[in-house]
Amino acid sequence: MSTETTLGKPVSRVDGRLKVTGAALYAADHPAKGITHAFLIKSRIGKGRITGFDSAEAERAPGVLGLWSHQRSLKLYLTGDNFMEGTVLGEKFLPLQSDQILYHGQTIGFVVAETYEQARHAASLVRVKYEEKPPVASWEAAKQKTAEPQTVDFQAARISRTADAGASVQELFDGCEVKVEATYTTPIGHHATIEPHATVAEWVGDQITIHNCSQWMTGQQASLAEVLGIPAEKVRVVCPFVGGGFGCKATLWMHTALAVVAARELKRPVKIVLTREQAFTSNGHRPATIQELQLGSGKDGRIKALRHLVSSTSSEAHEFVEPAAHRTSLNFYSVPNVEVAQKLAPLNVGAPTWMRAPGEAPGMFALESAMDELALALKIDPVVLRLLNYAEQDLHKKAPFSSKHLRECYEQGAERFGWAKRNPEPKSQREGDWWIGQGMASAYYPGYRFASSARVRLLADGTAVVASATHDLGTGMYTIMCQVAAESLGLPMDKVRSELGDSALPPATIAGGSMSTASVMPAVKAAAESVRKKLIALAVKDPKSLLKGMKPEEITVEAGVLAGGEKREPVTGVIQRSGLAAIEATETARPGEEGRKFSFYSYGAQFAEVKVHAMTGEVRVTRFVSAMDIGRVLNAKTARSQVIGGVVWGIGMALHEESVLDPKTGRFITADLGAYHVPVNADIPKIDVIFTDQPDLNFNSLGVRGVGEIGITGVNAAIANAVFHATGVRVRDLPITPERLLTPPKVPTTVG
Amino acid sequence: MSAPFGYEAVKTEADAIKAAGGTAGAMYLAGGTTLLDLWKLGAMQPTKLIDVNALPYSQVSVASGTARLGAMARMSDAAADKDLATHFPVLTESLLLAASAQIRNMASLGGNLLQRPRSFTYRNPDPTATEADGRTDAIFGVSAKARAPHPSDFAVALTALDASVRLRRAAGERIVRIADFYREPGNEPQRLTTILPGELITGIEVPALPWARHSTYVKIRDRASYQFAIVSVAVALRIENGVVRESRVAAGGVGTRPWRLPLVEAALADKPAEVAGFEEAAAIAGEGAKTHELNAYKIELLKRTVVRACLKAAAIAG
Amino acid sequence: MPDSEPSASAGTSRRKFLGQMATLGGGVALAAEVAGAPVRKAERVIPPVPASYVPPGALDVTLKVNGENRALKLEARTTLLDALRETCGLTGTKKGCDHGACGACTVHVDGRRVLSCLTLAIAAQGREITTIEGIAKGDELHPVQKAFIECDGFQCGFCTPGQIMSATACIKEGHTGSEEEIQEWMSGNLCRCGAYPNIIDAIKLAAPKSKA
Repeated sequence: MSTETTLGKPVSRVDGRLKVTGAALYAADHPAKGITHAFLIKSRIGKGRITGFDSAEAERAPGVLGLWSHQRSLKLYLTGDNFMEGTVLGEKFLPLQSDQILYHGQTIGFVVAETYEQARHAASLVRVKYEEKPPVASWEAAKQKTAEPQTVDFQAARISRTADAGASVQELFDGCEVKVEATYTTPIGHHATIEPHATVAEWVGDQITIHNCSQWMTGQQASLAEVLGIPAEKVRVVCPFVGGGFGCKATLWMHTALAVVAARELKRPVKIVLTREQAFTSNGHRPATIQELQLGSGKDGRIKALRHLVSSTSSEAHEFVEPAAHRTSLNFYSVPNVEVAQKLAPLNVGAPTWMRAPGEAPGMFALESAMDELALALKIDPVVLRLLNYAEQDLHKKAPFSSKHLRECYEQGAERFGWAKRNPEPKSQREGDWWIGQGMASAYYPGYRFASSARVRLLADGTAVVASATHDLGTGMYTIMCQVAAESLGLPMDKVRSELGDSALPPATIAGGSMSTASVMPAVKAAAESVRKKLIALAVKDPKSLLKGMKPEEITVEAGVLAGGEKREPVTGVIQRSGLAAIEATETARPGEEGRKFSFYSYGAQFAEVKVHAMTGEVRVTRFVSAMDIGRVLNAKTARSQVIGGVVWGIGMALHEESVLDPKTGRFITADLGAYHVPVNADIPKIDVIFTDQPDLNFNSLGVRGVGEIGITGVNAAIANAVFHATGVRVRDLPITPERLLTPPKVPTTVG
Repeated sequence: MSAPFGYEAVKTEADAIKAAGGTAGAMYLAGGTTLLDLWKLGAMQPTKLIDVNALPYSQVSVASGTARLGAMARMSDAAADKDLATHFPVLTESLLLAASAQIRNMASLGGNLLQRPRSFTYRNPDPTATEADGRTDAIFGVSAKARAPHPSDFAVALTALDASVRLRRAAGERIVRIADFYREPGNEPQRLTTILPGELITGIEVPALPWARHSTYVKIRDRASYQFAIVSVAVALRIENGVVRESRVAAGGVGTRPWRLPLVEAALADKPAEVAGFEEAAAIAGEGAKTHELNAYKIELLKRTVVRACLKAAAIAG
Repeated sequence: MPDSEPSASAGTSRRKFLGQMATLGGGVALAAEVAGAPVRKAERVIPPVPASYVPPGALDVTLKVNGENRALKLEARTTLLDALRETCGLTGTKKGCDHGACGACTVHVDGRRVLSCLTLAIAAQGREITTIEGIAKGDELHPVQKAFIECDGFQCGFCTPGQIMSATACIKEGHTGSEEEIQEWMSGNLCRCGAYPNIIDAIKLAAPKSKA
């Protein structure tokens, strides 16, 4: 009797049934006795101050229980802003603490009523007067204040690395035989999770529990404690299910803190669910970028100089860096002379935040578009050009890449896509009214890992529970926890269940930076192995066990049965006879010295086919192949789904998504799902996903990296490159909407 | 914003009109897809809703070539009607290319005509709020206060077909040509139609037009589905021996009201029913447009969409 | 073999469901536990009907949801979505945008898929309302539900109830002739995780099995 491993197999989600029946409880679904409903009051100007706040009528409205503003404030404290401690606020400008307005849609009031309808109506009855100043809401207006930040990713804002001493990268670029010099832009984007941010805040005595949309239980716990000025032990964050995060549900946002303080004052649970429009203002977005890129090579196609200069938008309320060059151009290619730089343009908008592959998503658009332009100038196949400049080691960190199989991604992706059949000539394929084109780009995302803990309990009935304060954003965490624990315990997977989404469980790191699997799974594995050791230790000491007296190392556990030689002993019997309710172990796994020796990255190759209507310029993606090197794959089904999701995001970024600011008022004019276009079903073709499935055992005991973010990277460039191939029009500004193909393209800047 | 309102479900036209007449701020509720959307935003502030869904206006029929469409028929029911699709494919296509399956199941044809544009002027409680230039802005019929394009696809098709709207109020019934039903909003952005207070749309009539069998609706949008038109064109062509004899052309996404293109219709007359002829006629489509940097592309896109729609209609015709 | 499903109480009968609700009262058990193994039913969270505050101006509204009549006190302005979620405790139906732009709130009214966020509860009286909680037959999932699990037609799961209600209608309407047709007729349901290709696979898989 042996258990076939589930690791790497396409295992269906263990939480699937709850999700397809509507039984999965998301933050706003949490029932609480005596629940009350809150609604935010938002600023309707982009900058200035409040000169009048008349809430008398609102406070008299039926059902209203409380109304707060800067006049009657809920006291909040700033946190220490330390990622390792989790005290990171989404926005450091705390609401209701003064009359100052820094952006349109800033929270200026908080009303609680018996019903949602009453709270919403009461919010509209508040009369606010403002002293208005012109907000900074465009690149042009921000020009004066645009400057380099103190640091980018703990490095200098401007980094220059040259192999030829005495010459600047600019000079080295100028001396190249073949040059591409172009400016690429990406707009502000919004996460637009289908679940809007929500909190149910419930006090019991001095203990607060928030049912909150969360990708970072421990972070939100630590942050909320500091914001309230109470010990972290008094705060519990619960979020078994989160309806999409992508970065906007990681840090603590202040609607949550306001609900908590209001609940304390009212002595009743408070529920706040943001409206869709509100979710566009003070809960993060991806900054816009302007990226100037220079790529210089010899006629042989070897790149000699690369300059990647980025300006990204930030917020007057909260500085945020979108490190588009630092996370891409510094080390993706084997380039001897590189310069990257970053500037920030502070706008009167809410805080930006991490959004799926922050830095890489816009950065790879510029870099990989420029590579396509260089390939064209050189008349070298785009895949070949990338192989010519393949980085065998991390030239920036001066360390070997731990496990790099990007070459296989290019090869396998090209093979699956049929790249060899592509006619390199632009505007050479037509089907009816549509131009057809194929393009490719590379994908890139670092392997991150932070300390995380997990607890495994093996119960007397032969089932086990694996628990960690980690998250399942739809990533499959519930499922792979069961898989890994079952594997290490020697139990069938259906005997293991997983618990997560509760800060009372053993602490785990953020579900961000694609690091959950690499951080949490080693802890799960370690805890399960500890339990197995304890079990075996019991079995060999158990006088009634057939295994009594054997050496622990001779014993295996498979399918719930201990085996030593020919002797068999069910796990259940051993535990039951021990008198223990369960065998339990909690282990913490953390990165060691490997980070000093290696550079850890995931890689991929994205291949896109598009059709572009010859008359009216609509772009539709018709085929997509994504070949990914993400380390070992634990679950082929959920990992594939995440890559597909990343590609869908890339398609949205390439063709649809754009948050537009009114330069006069600083209002997002696209702040609803009718105007902010995320892809719909009809926009998405079949997406073929390939995994190299090569374990990165330098990185952790399971050889896994992560898959949440890499899927989006390079997709935008692959599509833009395919659009160029289809039409001969190079679009360097996202999204590629029809007008960008109708209006005459900018003068080509390719010099050769 | 989102204040309480009264509610009364009525069964007869007379009761509906009576109920509406008695209360200031009363509004008719049909599918609710516009009304409730805007009520939540504070942009519509009914004091009372008169639910007219039970009124017997749900027929969709084509008799002697004339289509009679009840105001309470749902978009999906009209879109599924085979006779309508045969006689007026442009109508069917305009319905199927609009919104989503769920919304088409809810939205009534009468309500469809009364949609509000998708812009801040129409989607916020403050009637004085100003708007920024945007890429979706209309290029025809714009004023300082009204610049958003009319959102209905169906109304564009009806405009091409010279349909009429049947209206009922206490004083009696009137039938208004769709050209007179919509107005350029000018300085009164909220007045998009000539409907009178308390007046109820009871039906739509589309006069017989045998060659409307050769009609089509082309809608341009960034997404492949579920998006308002950037530009759309409804076309019907009468072609004889490869030459256009008569045509109907109306456009969406470009006007503050559904926008008929009479100059293009005139220019199409006696043109060969092929690309060159269509391009020549479409060249005049942008006449009178007022644009800014962000929506200037709509002139070119409109011309090309006219050509595309004509080619498609000609293919049906041939 | 590796495909395992937890036997959550979600599939239990309406009657049983309500019974548990009563025993739990205002129970605040947490749904943090998801199992690969059968789970003790009492651990499942059953949303209770929240405390019965009756707003001024509330009217008697009877809604027939998943075959059962529910006598409610609601204001005229309460949407079907808010009534289901906040008053009936049926939180399977989700509020994604509240403005008819995402499809997360899709339910069936008299057998047709509609958006509950733009439907007034009071206007849905006398109609058959079906929500995600009402499509399984006891413990036996609807073929579309099964297919969504098999094909991984979701990630975060938030849009999923709306997707499934839309998918069952899409099949019933006969709009499954081709992948393109399914895509078009499912485009009113946004999925930000990007599960679209898997949703198409799930509908193709379920369509022949759900003709009933």
